[in-house]
Amino acid sequence: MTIHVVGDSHVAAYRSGWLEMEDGEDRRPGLTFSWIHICGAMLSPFHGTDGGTVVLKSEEAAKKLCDGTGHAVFRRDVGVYALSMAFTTTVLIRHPQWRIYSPAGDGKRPLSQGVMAAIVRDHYRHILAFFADLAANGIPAVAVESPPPRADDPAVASGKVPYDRLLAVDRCARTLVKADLAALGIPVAEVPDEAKDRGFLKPSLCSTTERDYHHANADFGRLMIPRILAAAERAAHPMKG
Amino acid sequence: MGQHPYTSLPAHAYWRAAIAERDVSEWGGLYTKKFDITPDAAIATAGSCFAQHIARHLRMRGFNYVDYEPAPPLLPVDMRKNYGYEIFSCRYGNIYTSRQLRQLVRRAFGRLTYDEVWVQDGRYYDPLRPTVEPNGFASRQELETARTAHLAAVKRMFKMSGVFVFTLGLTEVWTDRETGIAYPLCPGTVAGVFDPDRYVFTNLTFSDVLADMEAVIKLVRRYNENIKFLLTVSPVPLTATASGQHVMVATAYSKSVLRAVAGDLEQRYGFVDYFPSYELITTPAARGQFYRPNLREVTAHGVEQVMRHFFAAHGASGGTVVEDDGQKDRAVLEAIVRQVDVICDEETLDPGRA
Repeated sequence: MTIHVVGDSHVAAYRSGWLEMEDGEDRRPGLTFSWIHICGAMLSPFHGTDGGTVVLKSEEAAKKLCDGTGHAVFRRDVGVYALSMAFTTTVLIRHPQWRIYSPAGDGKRPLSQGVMAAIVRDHYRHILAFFADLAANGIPAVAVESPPPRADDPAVASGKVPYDRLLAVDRCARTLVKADLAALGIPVAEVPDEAKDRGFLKPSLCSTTERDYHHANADFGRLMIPRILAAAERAAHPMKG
Repeated sequence: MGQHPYTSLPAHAYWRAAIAERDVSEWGGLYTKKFDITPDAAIATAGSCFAQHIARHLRMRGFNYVDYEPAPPLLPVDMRKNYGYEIFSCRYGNIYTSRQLRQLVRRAFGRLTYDEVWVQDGRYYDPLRPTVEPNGFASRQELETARTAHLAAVKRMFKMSGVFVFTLGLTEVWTDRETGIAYPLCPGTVAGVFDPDRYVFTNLTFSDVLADMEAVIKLVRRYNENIKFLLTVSPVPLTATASGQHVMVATAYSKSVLRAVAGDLEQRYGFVDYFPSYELITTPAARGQFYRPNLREVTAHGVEQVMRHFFAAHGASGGTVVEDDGQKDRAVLEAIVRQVDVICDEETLDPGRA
């Protein structure tokens, strides 16, 4: 089975994790990852469909896709796409509205689950449409859950918003997106509990790059690789459940 | 013939000169404001459907229209009304009757407690604003949290407003036989289950509406002695009547009572004004041109006509006529995306195969 890991900048952690894995540590023969970084722009329309394939609007991104997979479009016959994009909540939780609004019922202007669902689905609408088009065209794909928010993210560390409120926003977004992907039949490689500390990414799994309060490191990637493999198996052989 | 009071009246006092011989665009002098609405006066709105137009135009014309329960910036602009945002100054939905308004004021100031919740298909509805969450709330607690925040916002609105614009809609109301609670919509229509032993139909009389409005004014001014009231009557006919009368007759009754109460209050109180949007739209001189083909809803042209008269008296406050399309909210989001993208771009990757 060929797996192409495609998506936002969190792909770097999966790639590093894979590279650092010892032979035999779930590095099964025949497994290939293609690392294609198409970070950004996914909160705007970024794809279309063309004759059973899904195409990227950005020529640069299409070229990267071609470099990695041999094809500039998403097709149903080149393996399974593991897509890191649908769970990145950084932009969402850094929005200043959470200083006032809260889905956590903690005294500020409360937001209902209905309003939160509308916000989340709007935020990820182009990404969800992308997954819907992959599913509609029978292109095997899984969604890779992004690392949880980091406790040192400026949105959290500044203390302007209670951290549990931001975690509630993050949790709400992930839960809704998982439900929508499940409805599309897209398996999800979920972040294991052992990667979390109070809901944040464990400090030992954070990238140590200066001024980076967003990414995970290779150890997180290693934790995720088996989950990506398992989800890809489900996508490649959906009847196995 | 000698002189008499009708020989020296101004032109606007004569139907032929003021109306019949003029195009609708030339009508003038229909409204003389009783008080100024200064640019810094905080304006709040409530009422029936037509009040939504007034709120929108006040906002667009740069008046200090205050939204005490504003929409979260991340909620798309085109979905905000679905959740009761940006319709009025708080998320109370339509307040069709004086009884509803009185009840709301009493609840906001802690004079009335109401904790009923309707449960339907596992979702929870607030009987007094069943449309603010299209699919209901997820839990009783979520509903109660929203209700508490809502009433706090309403209280803040009444305490801080300089002008409260209220459009009286109709006189027909369904109430709880035992508690007297007035519902905005007949139970069972949008949510809840209709129980004929519990819910009773009431068609408010002139005395009822007057008493309600007097109570509202008295209670609100106890907390905000400077607040002024601007009343209008909705020109939108009843969708349906439960009075047993023909809907046309029932509409005339409702509107006549409301118009009479508004006039009575306007004449008795210096801080109450009446703006004749009802007359402008419903007058036979308009020949029905301000209504949509269903002869109920008011056209955009009709609303423009009404607001032209309003702003002729009150000015446009120097503001630009712009509809907020969420551009400011999008700019905030885009700035965050750029900030995150910078660090993502630094996360360099080698394309190719591992």
